[in-house]
Amino acid sequence: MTGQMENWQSGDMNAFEMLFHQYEKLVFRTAYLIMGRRETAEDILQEVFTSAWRSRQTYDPNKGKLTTWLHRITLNECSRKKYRKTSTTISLEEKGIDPPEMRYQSQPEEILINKLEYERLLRALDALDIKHRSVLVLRYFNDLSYQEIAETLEISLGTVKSRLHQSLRYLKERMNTGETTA
Amino acid sequence: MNCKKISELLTAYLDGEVTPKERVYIEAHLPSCPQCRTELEALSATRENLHGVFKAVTDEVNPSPGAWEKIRNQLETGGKRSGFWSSFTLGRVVTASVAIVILVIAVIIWHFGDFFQMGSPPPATEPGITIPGTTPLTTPPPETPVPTTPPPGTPSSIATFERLPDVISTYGETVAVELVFTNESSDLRIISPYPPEIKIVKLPNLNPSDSAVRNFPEGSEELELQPGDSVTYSLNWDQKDDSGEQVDPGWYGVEVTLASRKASDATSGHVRGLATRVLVLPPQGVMEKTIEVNQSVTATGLPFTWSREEQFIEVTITLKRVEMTANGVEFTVLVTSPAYTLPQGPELAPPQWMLAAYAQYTIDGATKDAGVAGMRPLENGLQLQWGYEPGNIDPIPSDTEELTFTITSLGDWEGPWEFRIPLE
Repeated sequence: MTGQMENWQSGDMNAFEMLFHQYEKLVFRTAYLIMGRRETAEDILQEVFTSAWRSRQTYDPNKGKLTTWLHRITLNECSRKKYRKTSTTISLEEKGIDPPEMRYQSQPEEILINKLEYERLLRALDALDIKHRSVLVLRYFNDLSYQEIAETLEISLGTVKSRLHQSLRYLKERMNTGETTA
Repeated sequence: MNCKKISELLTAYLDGEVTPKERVYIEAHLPSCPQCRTELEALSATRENLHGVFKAVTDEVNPSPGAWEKIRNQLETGGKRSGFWSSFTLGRVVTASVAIVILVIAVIIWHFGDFFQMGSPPPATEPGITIPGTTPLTTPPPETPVPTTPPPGTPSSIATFERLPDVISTYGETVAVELVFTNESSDLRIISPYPPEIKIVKLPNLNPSDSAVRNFPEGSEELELQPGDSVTYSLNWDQKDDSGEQVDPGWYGVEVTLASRKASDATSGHVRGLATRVLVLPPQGVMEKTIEVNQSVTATGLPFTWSREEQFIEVTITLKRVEMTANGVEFTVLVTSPAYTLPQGPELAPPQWMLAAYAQYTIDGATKDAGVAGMRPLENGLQLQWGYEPGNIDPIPSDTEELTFTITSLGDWEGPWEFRIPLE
């Protein structure tokens, strides 16, 4: 991995292609969750890797993980784009996506309730601005630690903490119907 | 460490991101605090759902197979994508082209189409939501959830309540509301607690977490409901808030949280939403008249992104009319541009933020939120309306001397654009 890294950093396009294939899904899906539009996520994917190539010498493996660096570029591109996510572009109903494993064994009626709950959550996410949606995506999709989020967004740890809490509490309050096991 | 401080740490606690000392405080506090435990459970459920929704949404999407080729081409040819801001030059500034305006309008049609599909005739009117400690969100919120009736064809598996007609009450009068709770599932369900938690909230419900003016605490009983059965609960509200003071005239909502569980396997769920709206009329009476205002302001240099480039356009904003009725007020505004034409189709990409137009109004010095506008493209411009649905704007008291209306933002464009309404 280190070898490959050095190669792309010194201008080896084939090594960069390997790197692209390793991280393209990560970047694309992160952008898709934040922006909500497939075409926008495609654009961002292209811009992130173009930009990563052009600024390849600025990345220092000793100062941070490659994923953090890629996330930072991705988030920068997202906030530059500022396209709003729309519930029509990401919709479980329209895509016919079944919710993944539930946190308890569900009967058909509960699955339906969960599907509706997911829809409601998507709409609630939709109303959040990029700043708040980004921390949620970095934490609960990319599984970044608070420290890593702080580094990615170049904000303080305290800001990460409060922003995440505000966002999660906001979503919680927007979820008007809930199903839980007693 | 007090409750408030603890509750602010709960997300970090769930994420394993608190210090050992904080963890000790939290774990010592939780057993003795039902509110914090409830908050923790709710946050935990939201967190898990969020994990699930992110996974469900992304499992299905992948970059297109040709993505690398495009990038490689671009890098090898040295071609530069036209970035969002990068190729912006002053020479291109004032090109308020027909296309830009068409795009703006097409977006609105697209948005309307969306609403029509969802079966809600007017666009959302619930004003922006503010997360405490942050700036208000500048995006249009989704439509107000209607928890009482699941979508057609969806069997409900929980006990719900009916949405009742609006109640109009005189100042100081006790408001009686007959709430009807129904078991819409095919199983025996137990409503618990009974009576359920009921709150009177000020409308529009800007900040759900602290908009309650009066809390009716939940009861300590349980109530069994056979499938299809209903029970009626009488609520009497004396128009007082929690500190015993008469509330101000205006629109209020009766918010119910109805929790129930299946008798057989204890699966539980809850529905929360407005059971009805109550209008408390001002004691001095309501101003009822329509004023043709027709005042215009011109806004220039409004940034707009077209074809990946930022340009600037100019629009004229006209407050056409103010209709004051016993139920509220409707402000009608027309936004025009010399290049405006009625769009032909909704096929263009929607920069959705364009759709959120926020306004405020001031009655004799007291400013209130008018919320987000409904939009409609007309032959001669884009029509914005605030207050077309009762509950968003309170009726104007009959002795009002000064009324101003201020559009605070049109999408990403920040106002204010102010209009003084001649009441005489």
